[in-house]
Amino acid sequence: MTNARILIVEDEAITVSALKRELASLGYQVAATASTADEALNAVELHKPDLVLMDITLAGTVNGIVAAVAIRGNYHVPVVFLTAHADDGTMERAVAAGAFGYVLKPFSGPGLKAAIETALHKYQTEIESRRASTRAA
Amino acid sequence: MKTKQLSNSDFFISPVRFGSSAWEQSLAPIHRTLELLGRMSHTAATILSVVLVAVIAWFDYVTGDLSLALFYLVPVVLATWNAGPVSGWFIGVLSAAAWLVGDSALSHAYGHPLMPYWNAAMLALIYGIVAHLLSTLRRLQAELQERVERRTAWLAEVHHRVKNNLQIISSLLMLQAEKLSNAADKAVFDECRDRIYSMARLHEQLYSSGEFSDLDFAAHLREMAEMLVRSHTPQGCTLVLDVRADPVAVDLDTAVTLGLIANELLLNALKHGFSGCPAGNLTVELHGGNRNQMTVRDDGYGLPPGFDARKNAGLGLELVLGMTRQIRGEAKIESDPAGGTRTTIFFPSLLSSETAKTEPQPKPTYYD
Repeated sequence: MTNARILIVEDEAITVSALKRELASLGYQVAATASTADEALNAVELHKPDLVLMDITLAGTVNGIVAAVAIRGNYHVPVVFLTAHADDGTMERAVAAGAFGYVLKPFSGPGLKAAIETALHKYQTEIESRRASTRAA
Repeated sequence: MKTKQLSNSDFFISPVRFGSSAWEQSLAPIHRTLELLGRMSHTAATILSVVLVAVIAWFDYVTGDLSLALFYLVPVVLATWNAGPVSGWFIGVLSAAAWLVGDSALSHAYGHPLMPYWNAAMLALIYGIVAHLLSTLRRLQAELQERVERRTAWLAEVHHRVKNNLQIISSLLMLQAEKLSNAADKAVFDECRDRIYSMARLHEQLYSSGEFSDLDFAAHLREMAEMLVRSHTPQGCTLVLDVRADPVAVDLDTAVTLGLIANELLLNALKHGFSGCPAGNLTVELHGGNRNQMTVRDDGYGLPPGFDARKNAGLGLELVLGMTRQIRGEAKIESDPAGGTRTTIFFPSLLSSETAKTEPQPKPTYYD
């Protein structure tokens, strides 16, 4: 799904700049950027992105996993984690937070695209199966 | 919609557990038993210890002259480990009293009527000392474990920060490359980003495996080869990658250097080996032994006639030769008889590299 609108939640300005360019070169639109969990929630409400690319370590007191749970719970937008953490504990928490995928830092273009496309496809499938089960009921 | 206030419920890094060495594995049953005992409540452990004392005393009485005084240590250890030194002392005194009752019932003849009481007092003292030493040991073990877990978490955090910084460097290179109009110049920056990516993956492998000093290079080599082939296969070329990698343990320093060498060799093969070819094969091998060897082989154009690695080395090859010397290895670059180029890096195994640190470095040899 090219042209998907993506919200970047990342507190490193240089990484945000690089991400914006990488996403644009891959054919996506950057809906907005945020560096804290609260900014991310506001941005999701305001810009209604198709997907959120979320760093786990954020500025402020709230980390990306907690923010992802809130976004999934309140706005039903798929979240892909962008993280330097690759340990099992973090991965388990990311899965428990309803992550649709993750990209490990430093990211590569192909890796980023694969994670985003998989997440968007998975989300679409989830919506369709939910609609089907509602109709059946 | 109003957004709700959030708070972190917990810290996101879990301490990584050690326990993969053969020695630690052999101690695993003991650790499991101690963990089970540790989960028992204080009261349950004390009651179980009292029952054990009664059972041992009964056997002590039944077996007559055969002394079972040593077996009273079992309930003493159980009570101490689980309920603390006070319970341990209590069970120790109870054990000595039980021994005294059994001994009196058997009507042993002593030279002095106070002798059995003296013996019981000595037993109580020994049991008490054991209880005290064991409780001290347990406290020290708990402190040590806490310290190890804390340091493991710190180390994981350091690796995480290293990776974050590598991400920032990679991002900076990407942003700088945007200002360049020449594709060849941009490719130089991309190569730098590939090298950074390779180093970052090693850090990731290190802290996700929980082993912060040594790692299996095979997994890293396989992942790197697949990633580079995906992103750098020349247009119009169908490339088959074959990775035959045995598990080879290397320390972090060697892994980083070897990773960069593999990165250069693979990029070199992908950039120069197959340009204009409709198909090709790229083989990567890693074998262990007294002397490890890593081979990158392609069936592309091969080396130019009269190629001499010492004279014709570009930056990539110069780096390969330099880094090979750095890990006390040898590089062999040759034209493959079947066509294409074959580069083999020989490097010391982890065990021999420990001893080689004090020995003079061998001079690398080149072939063509």
